[in-house]
Amino acid sequence: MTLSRRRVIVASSYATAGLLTLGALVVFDGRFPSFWRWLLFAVAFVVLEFNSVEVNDRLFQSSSVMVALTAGVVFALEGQSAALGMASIAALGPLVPQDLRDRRWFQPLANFGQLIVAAAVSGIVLDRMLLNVGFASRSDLSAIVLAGTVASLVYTLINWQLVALAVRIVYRSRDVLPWSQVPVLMASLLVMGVIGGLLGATMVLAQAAVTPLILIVYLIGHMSLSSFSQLREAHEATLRGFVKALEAKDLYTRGHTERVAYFAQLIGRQLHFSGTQLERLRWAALIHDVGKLAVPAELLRKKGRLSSDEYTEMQSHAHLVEEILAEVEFLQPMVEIASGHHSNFDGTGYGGSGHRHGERPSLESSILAVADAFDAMTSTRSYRMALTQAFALDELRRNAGAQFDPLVIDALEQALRQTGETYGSTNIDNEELARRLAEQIAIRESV
Amino acid sequence: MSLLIAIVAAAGAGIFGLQQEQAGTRELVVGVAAMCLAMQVKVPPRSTTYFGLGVAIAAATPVYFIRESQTDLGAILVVMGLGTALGLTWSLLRSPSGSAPSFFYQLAGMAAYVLVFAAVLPLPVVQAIDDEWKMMIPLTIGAGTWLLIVRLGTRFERHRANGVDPFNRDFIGDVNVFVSLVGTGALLALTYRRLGLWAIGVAGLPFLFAQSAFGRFLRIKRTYRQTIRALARIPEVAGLGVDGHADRTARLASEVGYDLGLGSRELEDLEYAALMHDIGRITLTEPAILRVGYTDDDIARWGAEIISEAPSLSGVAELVRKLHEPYRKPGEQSDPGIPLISKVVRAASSYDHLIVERKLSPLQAVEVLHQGAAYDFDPSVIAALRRVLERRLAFHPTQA
Repeated sequence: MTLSRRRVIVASSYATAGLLTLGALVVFDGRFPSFWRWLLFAVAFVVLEFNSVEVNDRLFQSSSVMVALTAGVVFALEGQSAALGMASIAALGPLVPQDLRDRRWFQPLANFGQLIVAAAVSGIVLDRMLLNVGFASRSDLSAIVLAGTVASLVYTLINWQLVALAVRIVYRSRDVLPWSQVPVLMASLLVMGVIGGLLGATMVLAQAAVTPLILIVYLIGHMSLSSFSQLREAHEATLRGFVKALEAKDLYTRGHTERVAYFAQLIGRQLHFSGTQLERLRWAALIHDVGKLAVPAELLRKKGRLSSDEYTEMQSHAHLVEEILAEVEFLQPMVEIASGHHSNFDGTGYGGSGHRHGERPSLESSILAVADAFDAMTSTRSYRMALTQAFALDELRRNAGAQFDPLVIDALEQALRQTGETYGSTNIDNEELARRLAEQIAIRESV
Repeated sequence: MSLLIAIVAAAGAGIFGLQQEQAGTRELVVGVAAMCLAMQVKVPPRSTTYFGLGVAIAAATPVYFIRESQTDLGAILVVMGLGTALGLTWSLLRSPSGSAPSFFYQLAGMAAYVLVFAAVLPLPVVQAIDDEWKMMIPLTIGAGTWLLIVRLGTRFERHRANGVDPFNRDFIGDVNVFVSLVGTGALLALTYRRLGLWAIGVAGLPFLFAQSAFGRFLRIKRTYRQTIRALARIPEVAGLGVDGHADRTARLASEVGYDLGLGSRELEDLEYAALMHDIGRITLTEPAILRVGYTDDDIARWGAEIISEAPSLSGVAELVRKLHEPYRKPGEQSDPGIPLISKVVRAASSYDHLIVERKLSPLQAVEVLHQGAAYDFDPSVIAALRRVLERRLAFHPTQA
């Protein structure tokens, strides 16, 4: 099934579910909340959705859960329908300028559906749990907070599960970046919902004058999310900066870093790494060649074999990465992994702190070593044309146990089989031939 | 010393308040304790201005001690005065050497807030408003005055030579911090009577969110800074530049920029530009380039190209690009197209070059820069550099 087919199916089924839910609430419940209250929350909700931030690759999130929960608690306590009120506010959620500007239809439709369902279900929870709290007083607060917490849990869970389901159906896992902040973000959203519920109780119990202060709390929620997003962007920009600097220096590394990151992630997924571990692996892969920035360029693109002095100098890039990145705090664990990517499985080889002579390198370093070697063989270098994938895997296997971790090679082979992807040349499966061809091309270019 | 005066003044206000307060002892004790404790909690700053949780409690105090439109000024003075005095004493005991720079203005702002609050609330226009809504007007005006005093004060503290706009971009960050603190404080005061201890949850949870968000913003800043320092190291690690040149240039350039009265954003850009001014040197391993030769202007241009790969640094890239352009056109006093920052980085870098590579004494180096002042260097920048060096030499005669 093609990507666009999958998108149409997900978007239409989500939107239909949303419409049906909304329709059912209108028909079977029909207790509309008072208009001005509704408008206040609707505007706050839309403003927050308008300012949703990209918390991970193409995953947008807003702190509107606070508004939804405040509205729900207020409606439920004042004898109106929390479910209908929340769902009708959530229906305005897809009004995100980014989507409208890019004329996207998939995200708005899917969001329309999942927001309505999440809001309706958590509204029903509020309606049920607050049924007996008639005219609220301070003694009812614990009941209200409990209801708010459950409703927030329900809202966040449904929201995330539906989004995750849509992403899983539409994109393949390779298209989604691993991310370590998921649990923190989930917990934050959950607590934001609880705060929203508390604010609802405050609005009913204290006087209406607290409303401007409640808007300030919404602002804080938004700031909290955007700090997540900006921190992630700072990390990504750092990594991008080094990758770009590397590419500016050596054309042959163009794409190499990203491919090594991709292969490392394939292996990591095969070995059941968690999101945090996968993110570490990806970051380590992206910086694994940073040390080359400090290696003379003639050496990097020298044609023919390196002399032993040159080889030693070339090898030094594995520990230069430590010298360059010593001050970048968030990369420290990754620097250790990266500095070990030239150490061998049997404890020989070289490297910085990630390499301990006579000891096995860490699993992450081993993964980087395999991914690095695999891409080196299946891509064209200054001194050699690309070889076939079969040759590359055979070559890895031949050095398994000595240079490479056999477990990691197995994982790579399985992962490649599962994704059905092939890399490298279609016919060159002889190293000497590959070198000769590269020399011939070089001679022809220089003439 | 100024800290001691502040403590005595605050305690005096508190004791004066004790004679006229109408509130219960328990409320007062809780208030003083809350103020004293809150002053120990620092909020991660967005700019050079520091705020603490004390702002929230101080903002809450007048809102809380108003009953039936009567302001209990005595109680407010007790809580804020005694609370501040105790809080300051405590932080003094915890770290005797540490001093808050903008501290005096914080106290002045706080006092202004109370006065404005007490003055605005009884006005007939305000009293005509229903319910607790009338509280919002003195709260807004008072808090605005407070922020203004702190802001202007911290800026005034550094005598400005070049008159930099006090409301530049980092003002927004300060407003965010301040509004979050005042907002959660007022929320605490307004809801405490109705919700009891739950009010701490209503106001405290958002405060924790704000606190962690500001912490993250600080980490973001640090990450960018560390990245730039790491990029700046590359030419030195590769043996293409003099060891520590970027670092020394950045330090000297920052001091000169400070002397010239740049704002905190400009100082940040200045530091980044100074750190990365030689990044173009990483291309000096290209055999083709080495054959043809290159000028300082080429290095600056290549550096700017590399830096502009990061969209957030396009401003810094522009500064580096203009590094080696002459500061004025022939026959004109100066070229407004050349940013002050570029001129500062150029002077600082040349000074370091003269000292470290040509092994000149500071005096000789300044002399050489002076000779270049007609064309290469802006005389006002060289004058500032000279002031900075004189200060350095006075304090560390062996270094500099």
